[in-house]
Amino acid sequence: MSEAPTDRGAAPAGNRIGAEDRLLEVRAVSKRFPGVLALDRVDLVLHPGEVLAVIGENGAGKSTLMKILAGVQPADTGDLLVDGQPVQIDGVEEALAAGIALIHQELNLADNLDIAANIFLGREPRRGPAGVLIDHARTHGQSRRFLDMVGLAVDPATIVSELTIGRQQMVEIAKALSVDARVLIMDEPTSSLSQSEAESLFEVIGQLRNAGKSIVYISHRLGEVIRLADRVTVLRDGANAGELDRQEITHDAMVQLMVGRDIDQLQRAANRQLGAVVLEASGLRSPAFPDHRLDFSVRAGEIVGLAGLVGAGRTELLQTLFGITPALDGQLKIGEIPLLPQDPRQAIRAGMALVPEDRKQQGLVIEMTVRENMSLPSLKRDARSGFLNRGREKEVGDRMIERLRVKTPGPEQVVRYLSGGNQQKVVLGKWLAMEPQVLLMDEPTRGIDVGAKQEIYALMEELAARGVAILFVSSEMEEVLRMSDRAVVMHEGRIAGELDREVLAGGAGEEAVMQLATGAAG
Amino acid sequence: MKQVVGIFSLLLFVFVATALMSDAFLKPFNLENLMKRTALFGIISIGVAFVIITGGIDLSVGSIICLVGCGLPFLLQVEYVALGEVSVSRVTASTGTIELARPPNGFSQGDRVRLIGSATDNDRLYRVSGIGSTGINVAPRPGSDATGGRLAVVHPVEVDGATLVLSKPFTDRDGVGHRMAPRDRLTFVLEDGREGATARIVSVDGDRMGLSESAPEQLAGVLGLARRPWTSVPVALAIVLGASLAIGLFHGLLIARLKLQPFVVTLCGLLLYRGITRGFTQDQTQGLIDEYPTLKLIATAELARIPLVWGLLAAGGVLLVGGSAWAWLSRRRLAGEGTLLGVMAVPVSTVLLGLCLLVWGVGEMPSQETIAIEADREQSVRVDLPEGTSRVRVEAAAGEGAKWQTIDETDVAVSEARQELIVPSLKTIIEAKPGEWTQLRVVVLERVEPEIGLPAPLMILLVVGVLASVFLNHTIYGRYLLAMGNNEEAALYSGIHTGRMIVLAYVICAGLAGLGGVLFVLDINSAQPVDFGNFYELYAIAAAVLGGCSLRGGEGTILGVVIGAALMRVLKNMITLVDWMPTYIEYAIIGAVILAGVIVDELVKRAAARRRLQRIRGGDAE
Repeated sequence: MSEAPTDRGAAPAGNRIGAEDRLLEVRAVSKRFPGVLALDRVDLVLHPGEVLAVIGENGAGKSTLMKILAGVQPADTGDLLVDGQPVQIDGVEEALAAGIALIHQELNLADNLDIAANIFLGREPRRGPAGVLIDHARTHGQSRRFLDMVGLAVDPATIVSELTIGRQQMVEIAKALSVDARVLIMDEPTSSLSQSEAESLFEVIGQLRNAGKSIVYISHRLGEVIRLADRVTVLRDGANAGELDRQEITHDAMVQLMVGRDIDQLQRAANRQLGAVVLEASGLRSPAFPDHRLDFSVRAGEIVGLAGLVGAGRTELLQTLFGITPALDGQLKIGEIPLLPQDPRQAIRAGMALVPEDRKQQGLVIEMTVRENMSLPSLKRDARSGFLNRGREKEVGDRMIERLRVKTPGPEQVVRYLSGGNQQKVVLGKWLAMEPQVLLMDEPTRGIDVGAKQEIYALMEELAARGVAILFVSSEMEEVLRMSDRAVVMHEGRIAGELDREVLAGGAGEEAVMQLATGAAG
Repeated sequence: MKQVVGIFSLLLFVFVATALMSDAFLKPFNLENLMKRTALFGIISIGVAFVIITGGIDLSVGSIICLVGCGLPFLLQVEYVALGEVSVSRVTASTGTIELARPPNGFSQGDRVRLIGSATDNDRLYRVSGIGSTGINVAPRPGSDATGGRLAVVHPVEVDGATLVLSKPFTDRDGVGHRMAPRDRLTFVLEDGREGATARIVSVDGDRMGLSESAPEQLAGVLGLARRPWTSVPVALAIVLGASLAIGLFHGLLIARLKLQPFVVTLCGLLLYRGITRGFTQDQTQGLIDEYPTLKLIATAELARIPLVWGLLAAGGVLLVGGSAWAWLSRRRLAGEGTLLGVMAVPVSTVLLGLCLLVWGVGEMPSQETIAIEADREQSVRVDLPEGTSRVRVEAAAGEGAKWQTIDETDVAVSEARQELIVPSLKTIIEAKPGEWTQLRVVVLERVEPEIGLPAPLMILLVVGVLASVFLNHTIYGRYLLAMGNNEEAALYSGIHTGRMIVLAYVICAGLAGLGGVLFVLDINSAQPVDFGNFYELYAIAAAVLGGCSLRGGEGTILGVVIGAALMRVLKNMITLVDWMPTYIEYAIIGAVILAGVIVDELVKRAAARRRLQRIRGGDAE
């Protein structure tokens, strides 16, 4: 993944950075959420005209820190300084006034309105008596100027929903420029962009830096960081883990700081005994990508990682397997039974379980108790002619709480009040109670702390050792490399290739995955 | 249980406040009515609660009630078909011939007949003097020639006390014999040919018929009216209840399969079913009049009629004992995570309510009451008597502390209204019964004990409520409903057939609305298509929301909803009864109380969530 230093392109030649030259400074900011200390006395410095990459594993606190800077959430303690002056940022308005704008991971545009309306939303130039009318001529004229700055040659009267995601992002940036932002925070800006869209974004970032804007760039994609960043700040478990100056930015150095241990330690324990094929897809066509037919299989006791970039169709594939978006055609064999599940009930009956991507929306009934959530799929199995079997229900809850070591005051605790890791354990618990043959997991450790992560890894291994076939989607490279017996890599809806344990465990595992994921090979 | 605390306290408060502000409120008659209305609205509110628990809404409840409430009497409407009548083709005055549309079967020589709706003398009796193949001859001759009208045989009867004995069997229009049955009718025909009253047949024993009216003097005979209901009771009930279930299925499928919004679907339903009802009834009031007395018992019967005192003492005792036991059983939860208010509020208020009822009951105990009177020499005095007084004694004494002597003992007419007794002046009393009387008093000797009836719909509510509660809390489908209401997507991902659960909720809701419609119309006895059940959906939604159902779905208890329905009724009752509250601001008061209720509920919930969060954070820091 590492690229030659000459490839870094648009970095300014002269280093204007000095101690007195601090545009934005964060001092000892802490933030606590129920059950987790998200930020622990974090420091950050941003100079004018630089691209600062903030990196870290999921849950390291990057997004929380950025939300504090952009006024979305207040910090519990700590100071923010702009131009050396302490500022109080209690809302998005105040952040904008201080020149800080956040380009959200999920775009925040009213996509039913046109570009100009979005750029000037809430600050429309007015005309007419008492300024009751919107001055469309002026909105469009000025929008034109900001769109030029981001290199977007589109009529400002275009409705936003008609733009590609990449162009919508440019509109967001133009909107930030229109309020004269000096600090642009970009949170995973390329996560849903195509390669060429990402290229034009990098170009715009270079131009903005040359124009003296400062950019805080958050990304998981270390290649992009190497290419763009003047400096890198690494967060780990909510605290500063280190800082890299431009000449120190290498892939290995960043990973080392992010994970805080050698990659070698991430190796999986031992190779397992694999059983018969229990999940076999041939010519499977999912509604999300009807042009591709997928063939793959998972064996009993095997852990298969489904790797790829966001939008490669991994989540869609799991949802098709589980019957949420039933397959258009093709064949699927679950155990010995040929079945294309038309709804989750059929999939569950066939012995499948899905730990979904969005824990709070899809995995849990957040207002119900731990016991009620754990028993939800198994209620029917345990019911006596439609009546709840409360004894059995309680037993399942107690057993799973103990087995998964869920930290909860008791089975009657409402799930909302548990931490992310414990919530994920509840999701796992409800499926383990069904004793599935095939376990599908979508981002099983997203947004949970390191300790719970290790427990979930251990549990996956334990289940595999007992003969459960596991197919998991992960965007975390380390997770894919560590957990997979085999990795299936997807690219734009098709299977780009498969990598076996030897390749993954070898030094070039990550590169091999990325090459397949970006469509560079396979 | 916690959700019920607030609403239950509010109900207690409004109940006590109304009792203090209005004397009429605690009258047995009013309480009976209140219970009955609570039961009816409780039933429909439970249905609406199921839909609200799924996160949906049903605005069509009032219109379903209208459809069923008008449809049932419409289907059950009764026609009375005249018996022994034949259409007349021509009347020839000169020969006294009446030609008939069919051969004159069923007519015999000497029968008395009567023309109806003919152009010539109608109210007159003729005697059959000859029978031909196409007509009959009558005497005396009709006044003029005519065409059209009908000819009816006036059936001779013998009057035997309260019963009539028929001496010639009835035939229907086709000349086929018809046996009279109870609820058929007879119209009396007088000797002068005019029609008298119509009487209902109460009992039939061969040719002997007991009637609802006694026969008039000068009775010449009777005309028979055969009762022809459009449909039988079971068929009519099956049609209206089937229709409401079908409506629920229709709503559910549109919402679950086509993914239409519940608000839109049921709003269209609201317009649709009322419009349809107004169409097929042609906007005419539908009523059961005095038909179907047994069917009406479903809504109007009293399960039991018990002396008010015993009712109060029994209810108070049950609540006192039950509440105490409840509190005793809850004490362990208090030691655990519960708060004092959360765990003990309901048991304690139950005990308090029990005590209130006991005190009230003891106050109502019959006792020999003595009423002192400011005696006056010249003027008579008006004395207010306790309710239900049936016999009093007026006593007099010749000075303070002297022995009381009986002046008069008299019966008093019992009435619902204020009862009073006029005691004559001392002068009059002395004239009637000489003595040096200076003091007077009235002793109440006998009182008719006030009784309270338990309306039958209360039992229906109890059955529906228990079934609904068991369904919601003890079956997997109830759990599915709650889970789905909270998070439909998570429920789907857990393998729950969410679509089927949505359909089920709407079917339950519409079905209970249908049952409610039947009970409402049987109770009220008539229904105007234009406004029957108007706004009932809003009362039901308000009751469900007050009872702890969140419109976001996933929350609610049946007990809470029933209490919510009771609160709505007590509020309405309060506005009607309390003098200084004009009835026309009813909606404003109900709206304000509901708003206050949900605001307080939300604030309490937030406070609870904050406490919980603090506890968790606190635990985390340790």
